[in-house]
Amino acid sequence: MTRRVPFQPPDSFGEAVRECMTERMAESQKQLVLTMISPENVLNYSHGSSWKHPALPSAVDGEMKTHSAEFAMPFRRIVDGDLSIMRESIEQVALQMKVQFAQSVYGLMSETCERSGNTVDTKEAGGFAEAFERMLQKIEFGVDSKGNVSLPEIHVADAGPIIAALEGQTKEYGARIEALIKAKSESALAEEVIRKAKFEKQP
Amino acid sequence: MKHVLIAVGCDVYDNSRSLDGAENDARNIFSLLTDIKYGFCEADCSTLILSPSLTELQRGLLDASKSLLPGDVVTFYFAGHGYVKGNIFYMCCRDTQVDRIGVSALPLNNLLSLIHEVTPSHANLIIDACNSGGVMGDFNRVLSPDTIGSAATTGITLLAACAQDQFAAEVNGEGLCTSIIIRCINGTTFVQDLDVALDLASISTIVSRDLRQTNQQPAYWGLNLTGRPNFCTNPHFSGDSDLRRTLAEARPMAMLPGTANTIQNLYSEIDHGWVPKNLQQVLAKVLPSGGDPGSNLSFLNNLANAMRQRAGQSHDPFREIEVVVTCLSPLLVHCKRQPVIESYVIGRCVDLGVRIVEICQDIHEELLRDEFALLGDTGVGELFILPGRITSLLGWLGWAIVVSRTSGGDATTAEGLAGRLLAIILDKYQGSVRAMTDAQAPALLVIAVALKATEARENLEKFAGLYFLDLCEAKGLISRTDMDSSFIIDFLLSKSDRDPNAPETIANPSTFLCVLLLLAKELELEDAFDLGMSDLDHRNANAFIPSSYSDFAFVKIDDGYNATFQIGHGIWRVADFSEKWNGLVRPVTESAGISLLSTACSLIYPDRIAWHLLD
Repeated sequence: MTRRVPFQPPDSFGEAVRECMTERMAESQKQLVLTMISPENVLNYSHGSSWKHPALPSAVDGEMKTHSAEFAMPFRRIVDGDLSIMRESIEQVALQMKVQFAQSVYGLMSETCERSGNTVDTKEAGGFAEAFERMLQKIEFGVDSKGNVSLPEIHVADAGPIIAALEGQTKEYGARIEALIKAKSESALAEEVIRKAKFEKQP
Repeated sequence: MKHVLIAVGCDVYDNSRSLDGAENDARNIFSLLTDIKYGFCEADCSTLILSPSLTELQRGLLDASKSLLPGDVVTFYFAGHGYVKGNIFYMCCRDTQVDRIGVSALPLNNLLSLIHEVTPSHANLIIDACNSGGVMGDFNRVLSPDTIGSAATTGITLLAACAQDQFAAEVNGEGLCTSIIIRCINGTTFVQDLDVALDLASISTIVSRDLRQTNQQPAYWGLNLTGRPNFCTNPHFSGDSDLRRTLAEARPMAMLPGTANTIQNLYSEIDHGWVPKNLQQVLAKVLPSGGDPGSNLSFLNNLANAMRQRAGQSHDPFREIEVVVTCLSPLLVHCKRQPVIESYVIGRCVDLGVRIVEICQDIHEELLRDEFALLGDTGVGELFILPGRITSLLGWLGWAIVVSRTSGGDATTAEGLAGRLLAIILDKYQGSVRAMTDAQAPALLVIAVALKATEARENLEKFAGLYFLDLCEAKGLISRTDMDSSFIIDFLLSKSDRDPNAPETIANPSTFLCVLLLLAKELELEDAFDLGMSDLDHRNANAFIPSSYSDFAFVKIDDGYNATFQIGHGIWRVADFSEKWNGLVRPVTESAGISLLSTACSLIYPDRIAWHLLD
């Protein structure tokens, strides 16, 4: 039997509140996602559940993944008028969504690197600093829409050991890294010039 | 009382042109009217006679008449050739000879004589035959003044397919007239949806309308002394017939185009989309203040009854109360000058008060079984709704107490119940005794007035104190009565953060604050409240004082004034406020009906307060 509760608001009230709450959660989650991905690299699709890059063989095809999160509001906290439960719920959902999103992003990145061989092994290289140097040697830098070289980003849960290892290196190491970055940047800019030149009509 | 059908269809004629659809029409009528989905006729007692000779038809009528008892309803249907001779209408049988028609066909007189002898309560006669309009001559002879008007007079409804000088058309193997009747019976054609059953008169109207496009002109005749005679079920009947009838009867009151539909929509939304103000606005258009009070009373009474019936099925036990008060609220303007309406209003208020106590008793019992019984299903929205629900619950019960006292009744049961409910709320729902919206103000005032001189006084003081404390903690932030639902989350976050940066949600000035300051005086809580006044610095409190409480049901009350008080600017203590309040000119209520109904209005339209309760 359905419970009979007095002074129930119109159904539209519950819908409006849920919608508003969802918007708040989405907003919060969006901010968290932007800490991992540049806004210009976010693609939005209206239809379908997968995508391909027919003109770019090196790009990885992808498909939509559903991320979900849930939160519970104990009756007692509502009856006690505990307003902090709202912010908690919003943050809790955003965090759950961020974790799942990160798993998707890093999982895809890892899979792509394994396939292309763009991986380095710290033990094999002999330490963080050596692995870092090998990593720079292996990857190609990109150039953003403004023509600036995009330096690679490092996403780690704890950056402390890497920073400590890099800071403890010799001047020669530092010079090698700088030269490597310079060369990679010049290479990226040169590639960008070639890419841009393709817009020009060939004689 | 039983319904008996005699359906005759004659396609085969030995001496005339045969027909194609008469038997088929009789079969269709028989199968529909003996199907409980469409008709009332009992198949066991009913007869289908196909292409009979005169003798067979007479025998069939005799046999069928044996099962007929006085008070029964009989329906006679004939499809076939018809003939008028010497002002007498004859139904032609298989062996009828037109040049000997007097002895070879069945005159309608015989059928009418049979009806006269059996005295059913009602007879429906349908003749789909050429010249059938000629039956009127028979009626003139049979129905003389000495045969009608007595207690046992049979009501007769007759539908003839065409005029006495016309042919009754057949199209695609079915009689044109019968095909229209069949579509009315099976619901293909809409007749009306007010009543559970259709009578032949209503169907005749449709037949006339639909045959207008042809040359065929049907004839209808009816004598009804015993109420609406049922012919078949109404496939379009819906349960809201009371409402529809009310709206139909209200048409002479210059009902605006589309208004009936709007009320119909509000009716259908009573359970899931009820907003009193929506009905208030429609009624304001339908019933201009200068309207006839008697007509208004009749219309509103019927509307209230129809809508209450629907509201009684709602998941909200208080919906019926709110619906009835909303329907009755336009009567407020008539109470002063119309003793009948004043008396009616008081009677309805007493009735509602009794019902409120019953509902609250159920809620009290439910709360004893389930401490979360007051929790709705709006999820996080309950943080906002639940505090209002608590105030409304006690406010309406407070109104029931006021009604009981005003009408000279015994209020002790309601008072005791209110005291027990208040105790449970302070025990289980203390965290939800919060000032969320100005819409809580009227109910808070009502319950305070109702309980201040009862044993629940101490709990009442705690109750008022909790609201004041909450308001002080939120720096006086409370939402407007008209805040859109989409701002609820913004408001709750703003209240949680004590952040006033959501001005579109905040009531400024606040009537709730005004009520609390008045209650501080009423409940002698001045010293306690004075301690928190600095938290409310710069906040505005407001009281709209109407010129007359008779205007209290208006969507917008024009006559009156707003008294606005700013804390920290002339008001630093409760005593400062009380002094200014006492200096205000305030109207008194002119009758008990106005007092009760205006207070109820404040509970359904919470942007107004029944200040007279304090006088």
